[in-house]
Amino acid sequence: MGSGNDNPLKRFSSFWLGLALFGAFGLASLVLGIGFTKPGEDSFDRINEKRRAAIKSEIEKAHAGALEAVEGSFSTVGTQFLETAPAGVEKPEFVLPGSATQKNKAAGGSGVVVPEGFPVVASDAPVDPAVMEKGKLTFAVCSACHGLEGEGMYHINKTGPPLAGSEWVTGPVANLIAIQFRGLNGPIEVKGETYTPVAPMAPLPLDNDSIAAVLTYIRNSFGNKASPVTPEQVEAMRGELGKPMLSPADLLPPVPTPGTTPN
Amino acid sequence: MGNLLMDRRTISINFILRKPDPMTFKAFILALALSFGVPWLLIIVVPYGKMRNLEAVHFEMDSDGRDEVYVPRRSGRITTGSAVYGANGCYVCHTQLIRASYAGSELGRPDWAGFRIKDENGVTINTARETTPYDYVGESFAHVGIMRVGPDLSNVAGRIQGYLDDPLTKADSPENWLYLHLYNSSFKTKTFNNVAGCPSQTHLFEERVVRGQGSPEAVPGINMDGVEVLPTGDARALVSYLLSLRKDDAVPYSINYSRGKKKAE
Amino acid sequence: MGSDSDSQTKLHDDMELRARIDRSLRHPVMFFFASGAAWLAVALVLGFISSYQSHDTRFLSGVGFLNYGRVYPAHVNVLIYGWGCQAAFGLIVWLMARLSRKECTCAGVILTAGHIWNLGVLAGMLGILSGYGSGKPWMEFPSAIWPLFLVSYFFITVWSFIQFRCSEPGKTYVAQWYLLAALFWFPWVYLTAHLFVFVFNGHPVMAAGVNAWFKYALIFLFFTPVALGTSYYLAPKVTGRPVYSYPLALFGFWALAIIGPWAGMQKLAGGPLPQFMPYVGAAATVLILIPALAVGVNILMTLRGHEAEVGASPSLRFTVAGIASFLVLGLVGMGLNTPSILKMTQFSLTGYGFEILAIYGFFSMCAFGGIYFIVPRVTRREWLSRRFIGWHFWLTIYGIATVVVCSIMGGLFHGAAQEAYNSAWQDAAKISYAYTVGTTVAWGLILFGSLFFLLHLLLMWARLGRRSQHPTLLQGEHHGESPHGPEDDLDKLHTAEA
Repeated sequence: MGSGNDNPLKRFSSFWLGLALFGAFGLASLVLGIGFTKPGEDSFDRINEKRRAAIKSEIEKAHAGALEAVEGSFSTVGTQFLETAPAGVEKPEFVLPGSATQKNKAAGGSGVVVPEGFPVVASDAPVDPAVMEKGKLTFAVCSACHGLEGEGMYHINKTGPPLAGSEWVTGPVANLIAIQFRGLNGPIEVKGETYTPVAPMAPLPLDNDSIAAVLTYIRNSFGNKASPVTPEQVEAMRGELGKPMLSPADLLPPVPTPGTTPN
Repeated sequence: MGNLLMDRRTISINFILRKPDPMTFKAFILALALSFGVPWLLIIVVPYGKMRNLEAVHFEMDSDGRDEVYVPRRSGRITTGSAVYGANGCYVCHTQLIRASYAGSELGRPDWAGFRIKDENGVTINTARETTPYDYVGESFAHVGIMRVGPDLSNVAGRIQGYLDDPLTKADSPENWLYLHLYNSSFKTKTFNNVAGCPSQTHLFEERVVRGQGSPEAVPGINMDGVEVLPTGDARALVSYLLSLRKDDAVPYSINYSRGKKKAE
Repeated sequence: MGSDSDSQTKLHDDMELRARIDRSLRHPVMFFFASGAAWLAVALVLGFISSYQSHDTRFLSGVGFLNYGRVYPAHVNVLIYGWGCQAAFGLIVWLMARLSRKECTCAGVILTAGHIWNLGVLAGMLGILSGYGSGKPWMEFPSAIWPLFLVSYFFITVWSFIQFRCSEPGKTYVAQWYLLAALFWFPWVYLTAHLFVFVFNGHPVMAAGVNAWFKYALIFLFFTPVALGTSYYLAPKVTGRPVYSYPLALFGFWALAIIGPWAGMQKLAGGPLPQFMPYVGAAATVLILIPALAVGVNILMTLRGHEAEVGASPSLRFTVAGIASFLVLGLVGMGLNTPSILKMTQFSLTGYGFEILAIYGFFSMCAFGGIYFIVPRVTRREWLSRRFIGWHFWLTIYGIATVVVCSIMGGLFHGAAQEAYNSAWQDAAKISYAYTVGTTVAWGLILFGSLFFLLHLLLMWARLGRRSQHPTLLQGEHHGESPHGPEDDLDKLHTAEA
């Protein structure tokens, strides 16, 4: 295995050969180690960030088209919204120009007006039991908010005030007919207590006989005693139908003040 | 001059000792390089290169319930703490390797490989799992350990929480439990006195005469008249590192080697 | 009688050459052996302390410098780099010079490099004890030191390579194969391991894997070939017989070369890396039995029939003990690394027992054999006291046997208890107690024995050895006469009468 004579050249070359052989695998490690640094791969955090950014841009793209459609509908929705605004207005400065309320006020108010030639029924006129029966049937609808005994459902769900002993029920008939045709909204004082229903009373424009029957029923039940309501009286006030909703201020006072026309 | 008698005999023997060379020096060195180089390549270089650039592991929608990349994270002073751990020889007696069940039984030991916890539905699950390649994130050298004189430390941070519930313990927080353990391992509890336990690492602490009400950083529970014990920076780093050792984070189904793993609903 | 006078002249010339070689090498070789022996004593003291602390933590506790976690790595590193490597350097330098029949012309460079190596060991040991250890097993010296070691190694051993290349062409000794292989394997292993662990930025588990590989690669590819080279030189040399079987020697060498580099990664079995790596390591450690058997048979058969010489010669005694330890190492390696046993032994005391058996039982015993042979030739004095040699030998044997039994057997019980996962951890921890006490006792014996060696060697280094024609042999006649021949008038009278 030795290879020849001993001479300085041999020694010199063996020195460097030894160095090379000793370091062979170290050098190989270094060379491969340089190849180890692979800059391409992202760190795991970056991968997640990139995924989230991609998802976000997708969503934004999807939303971009939709936004225009939404913006386009604003004017339509807005106008319709304005047109369907509720009518009950308390303060003059809240009255919108060109609205029905303003027209009403210009026409002289929206209060209940007893028309000319309104039939008068005597307070002790007899009550037809058949009419009471019909009225009782019709009252089933009203009992949802006013209670089966006219006690009102206000204490349960703040809907209808009581009818039993109510001065409005035994008061002017025109009030009751107008309420049936136009509805009633707002806080109302009944027997000294103020009631603020969560929803206004909607108008219930039935035929003359039914309205007369149910109004006769409530005026003569639950402890109330008052004159019956005739279909002719209901017919006389048909003009109220279509007018804006009433508020308690629009109603005729339940107890007639001296000097005004009773009933 | 030595053994004249011996040398005369051995001179003639020398020629018998030397045989004709079966191979030249070149062939010898080549064969040596080959016999060394093949294992060098196969068990050192190639695995090192491949493991250096581990690919991201994904959580999958159908087995994990989410779709993102697993990012292993540990909080705490990992780099400094790992260096202090190595410089003080903790790896001689403690290991940090939960082996697969065909290679060892750590998975069966309570609280070594994981914990029994209740998940969001109140169901008790066992988070015990083998060590994954990502469990040493933040360190440049995995302190796998030499011997197990003391317990394995892969999940020591979780176990310490349990030790604090022991009525005999004198520690009130995980850091203080570890400071007590490092200062004198028999100080942790009121009764346990282990002669062959962890050696006292008092060089990681500074003892000072108490002035006034004492320092708020002093380790409570050490009863030495008028002397308080404060952890040095090394102790803080080491304790921070030890408290980062828990392996119960959510791991993708594909690399979760625990027995009780279930796919997400 | 021309041929006779011819052969006489040849003999005389050869003797002169050998004497010149010895003289040229005296300083480096003695430096390596003496400083190695001194570091051996330091390593054994540190080993004794760390072993004591492993079963009684109050021993020297409270001193940061002597904390168990620092003393143990210091002990291991000083044993390997302070004693093991330096003994190996001394052996390589002398053996290669003698076998190549070349004088050493760079003794000064070797000596300087040796001093640098020693400084490195000193700095490393102080670094570990002060808390700057790197935390990587068998590489715990602070990370600035290893390049120094590599450069120093080059300037110690490259001359041996040059001598080999410039020697008489044609024929090579078995011992030279092993020494040459060791010369290359050390830098290949050392540089690879340190680059991958300290320099490159890789995965932490692979760094731990390369570190585990380094441990066994250093044992099987540096300490083993140096020890075997020494044994293959001494056995034929001292007995005057040729090596028993040349083909077996060839087989043994290449078996070691092929099997050795795979061993080591079984420390990470069951861990998060490709599992073929740890199990290939375990398989290679099991298969080390093959070259161990080949070498053991070869050398012991070479010595067969020469039991008297084995008993008398210190070198042969130590060599035989070393080779026997190598056989035990092979058997133990097979026993501890089969997968079912590996489960238990991976993190128990057995690893330490195996390493001590390899470094101390095998390498060191063969190195002592070499040292007891070389030092008289280099200093031209004979050993002072066969009692010192005897005590050194027997105390070391007892110590190694105790370490093997306690660490390896105890470690098996320890490991089995660790694997019983339904029992409390404290039970497993307590089982090792008795065996660590036994290991401490063993270190005490070994330390005591090596103190004899250190003292003896230092006296030889101080040129205080016996000037005599007769070597110091262990077995001598016990009837009146000195084993070294007649010493005074009375003895001469008795000899004349007898």
